[in-house]
Amino acid sequence: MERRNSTLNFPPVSDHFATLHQPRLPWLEPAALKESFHRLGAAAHPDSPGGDAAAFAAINAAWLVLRDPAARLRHLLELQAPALLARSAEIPSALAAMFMQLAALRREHEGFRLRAISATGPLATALLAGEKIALERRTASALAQLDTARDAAIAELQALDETWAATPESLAALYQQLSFLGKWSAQFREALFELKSREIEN
Amino acid sequence: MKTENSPLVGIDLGTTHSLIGAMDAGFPVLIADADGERLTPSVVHFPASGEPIVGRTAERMRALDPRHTVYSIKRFIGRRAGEEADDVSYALAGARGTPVRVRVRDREYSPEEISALVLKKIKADAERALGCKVTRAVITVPAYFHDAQRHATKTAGELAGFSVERIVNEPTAAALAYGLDKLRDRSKIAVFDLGGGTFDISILELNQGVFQVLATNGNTRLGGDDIDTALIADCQLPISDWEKRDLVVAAKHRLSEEDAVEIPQPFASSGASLVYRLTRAELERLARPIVARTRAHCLRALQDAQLTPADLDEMILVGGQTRMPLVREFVREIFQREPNVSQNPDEAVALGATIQAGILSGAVHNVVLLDVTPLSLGIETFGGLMNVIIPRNSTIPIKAGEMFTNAVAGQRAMSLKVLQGERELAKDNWPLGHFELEFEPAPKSQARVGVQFEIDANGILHVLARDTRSGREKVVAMTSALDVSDEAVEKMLEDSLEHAFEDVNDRIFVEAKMKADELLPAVRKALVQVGAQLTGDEHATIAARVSDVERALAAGAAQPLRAATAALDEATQRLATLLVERALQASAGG
Repeated sequence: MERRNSTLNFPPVSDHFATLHQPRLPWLEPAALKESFHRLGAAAHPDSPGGDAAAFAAINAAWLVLRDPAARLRHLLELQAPALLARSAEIPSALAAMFMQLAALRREHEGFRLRAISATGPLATALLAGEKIALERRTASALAQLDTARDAAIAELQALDETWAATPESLAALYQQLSFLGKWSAQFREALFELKSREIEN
Repeated sequence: MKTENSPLVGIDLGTTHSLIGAMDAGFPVLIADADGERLTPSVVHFPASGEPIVGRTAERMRALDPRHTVYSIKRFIGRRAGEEADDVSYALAGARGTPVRVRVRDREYSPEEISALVLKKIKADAERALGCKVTRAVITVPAYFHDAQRHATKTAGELAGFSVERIVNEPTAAALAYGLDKLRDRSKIAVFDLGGGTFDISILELNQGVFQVLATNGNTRLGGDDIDTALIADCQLPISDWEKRDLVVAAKHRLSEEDAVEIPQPFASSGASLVYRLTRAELERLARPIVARTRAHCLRALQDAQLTPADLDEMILVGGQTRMPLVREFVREIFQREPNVSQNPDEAVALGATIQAGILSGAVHNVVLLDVTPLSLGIETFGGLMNVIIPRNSTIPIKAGEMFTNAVAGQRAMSLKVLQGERELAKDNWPLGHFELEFEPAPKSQARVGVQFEIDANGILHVLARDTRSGREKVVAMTSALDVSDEAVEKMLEDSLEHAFEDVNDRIFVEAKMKADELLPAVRKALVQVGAQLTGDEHATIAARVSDVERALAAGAAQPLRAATAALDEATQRLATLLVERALQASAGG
C-alpha cells in the first residue's frame, strides 16, 4: 500500500488567504486573523441561515493553515513559488547544533519515561525524584531557548512583509526554520507536560 | 416536510435525570411534568403486566424491585458487552463483544430502546405543556462520547419518534446557558461538568456570540455513581445493596450542607430498626480518589488549549455532583480560582440544548457554537499503528482527505479500518468500523482513490470515496464495529477487562509479587540514601515489614502478600518523603 498525505482540504486546490479575506502576506496579526475566522466561520456554519458544512469546512481548513506561521509560509510558497518548496534547502548550522542538543534531551526523556513506568510505588517514584526535577528544569530551559529562536524568526518574518515577493528564497529558509522550531516546541511542551502529570498519577 | 411547524425542543438525556425544554418568547424554558417536576429520573420499571413505567415512580421501584428496574442505561449506550462493569441490579445480555442488551421479564432491550422510553415520557410531558405535537429535538451527549455512542443516542431519539436535528455536547450546551446574556463579551471560560455517570471538561473562547471550544477532555466512566458505589461498599448495615443505595444517596446530598447525618432505615428487610450514620469527613475520604481522577483531564484540556489557569476568566460548574464541597475544593485548587456557581448544575445543560434548538429554528440570532471533535480520528496502517487524520480538538464540521493507490497492478480493493482514540497502537483505540475501497483495474500506483473523512456538526463521521480517474464519488458504507464481533474486538476486551483472568487469586498473587519485587530493592536503596535520618523505631518497623513481605513471598500466599506489601508501603512513607525532600534540596543547591 502506498499512501500520500494531502493537506486537510480536499481536493487540495484553494487559496486560504482569499478564503479568510486576508492579504497574501507572510505575517498576519493573530488577533485579526482569529476575528476573521470567528466572523466568517459563524456566518458559514451550518447552524446559521444560509450556511453549510462544506463552506464552513473550507474556512476551518484555511484557519488551521493560516494560524500556524510555518504552515502559512508553506501555503504562501505553494501559491507563489512552488519550485522552492521542492528544493531541499541546507539546514543552517545553528539549527543543526540545536537539534543535536535537543535530540539528546529527547533520548533522556525516553529513558526516564521507561524507568518511571516500571516504578509504581511511592518509594520507587521517590527514588526518581532528583532525576525528574533536573529533567524538568532542563526541558523548561530548552523550551525557553526554542521560544527565543522562534521569536527571532517571527521578527524576521514581520520584517519580510514588505520585501518577500522579491526574495522568496528568504521565505523558504524561514519556513524551514519555523517548521522545525514549531515541531520541537510542541514535542517538548508535551514531554514537560507528561513529566509533570506523572507525579499526579502516583 | 411534515414536521416544519412542530417546535424544536432541547433535551438533556442524563445518566440519572433527563430534562426537556423549549424556547418561549426568546428565552429557554424547561418543561415540568404533571407533578410540576422538571427533572425526570432516567429510570424505567417493567411491571409484571402492563406498560413500562418511567420516571419518579420507576425510581421508587429501584429498591423494591431491582431486577425489573433499569437505571443508568447511558453507561451502556453504544457500548459492547464486557466493556463496562455489569454491577447493575438488572440482567445484561448479549455475547461479549456484541452490543450490550438488557434482559427484563424474558424480553431483551437495547440501551437505545430503554433510552427511547425515557425520551417518550418527557416528549409526552412537553406535548402536554406545549399543547402540540413535538417531533424535532436537539439531544445532548457527554463531550467525550465517541462516534458509536453519538449514533446510538441519535437512534434512541428516533425510536422515541423524534427527528434528531443535532447532537450537542453537554459542557458546550452549559456554556451557551452561561453566555446567552453575555453576547457582547470576549472571554475564556472552562466548564467542569461532573454528572451521575460521566465527566467532561471543556475550555471555550466566547467572542461576541461565537462560542468556540478550544479543547475538551473527559471520562465517560466517571461520575457521582462511582461515589455512591464506594459508599455502598463501605456501608455495614445488614440490608441489600439496592436498599443501601437510597440511604447513601440521601446522605451524600445532605452532607453537601451538613457535617454529619443520621438516617433511620424504617423499611429494612431484616425487620430491625437501623440507623445509617455518615460524616462529611468519611464521605470525603471515600470520594477523594474518585474526584481526584478529574485532575488529569483538566490539566490535559488546559495543555491542549495552550492556556494556563490564569488565562481563564470564569470556571463554570455544572452536573449535580459539583454541589459537593470536595469537588469545589478540587476545582479551586486545579484552576486556582473560585468556581462560578451561577448556573443551576442540574438544569444548565438542558437550557443550553434548548438554546441550541432556538439557534437551529431561528428563534435565537447571532449565536453560533463552534464545537470540536473530542477524539482523534485515524486509520490503521501497516504494522498496526494509528495514523491520525483528524486530530482531537479539531473544530467541526471538518473534512480531511487521504489519497490511496493500488500497491500491485490490477489490485481491485483495499480494506481500511477507521479508529478513534489517542493511543499509538491501533488496537488500543476504539474501532469505528472498516470499509472496502475499490480500485479501477490499472498498473501499479496508477489507480487512485481519494477518501474524504468528514466529521459533521454532530461529531458524527461520514466517509466519501472518489476515484480520481473517473471522478466518480460515492459515499462509503462503513460496517460499524458495533455490529461485528471480530477477534480484535475480543482481544481489546480481554486486555481491558480485569475479570479476564480465570483465577482471581492467581492474578492477585502475580500483581502483589510484581509490587513486592519492585518494593524490596527500592526500600534497600532508599535506606542507603536517607536511612540515617530515620529513628531507631522507624528502622525496626521497616525491618519487620520487610521480613513480613519476604515470608509471604516464600509462602506464595496471595492475600497475605498483598497485605504485607501494603503495610510495607505504609511503613516507608516517611522514607519516600525524605527522598523527595533530598531531591528538592539538591536541586535548590545546585
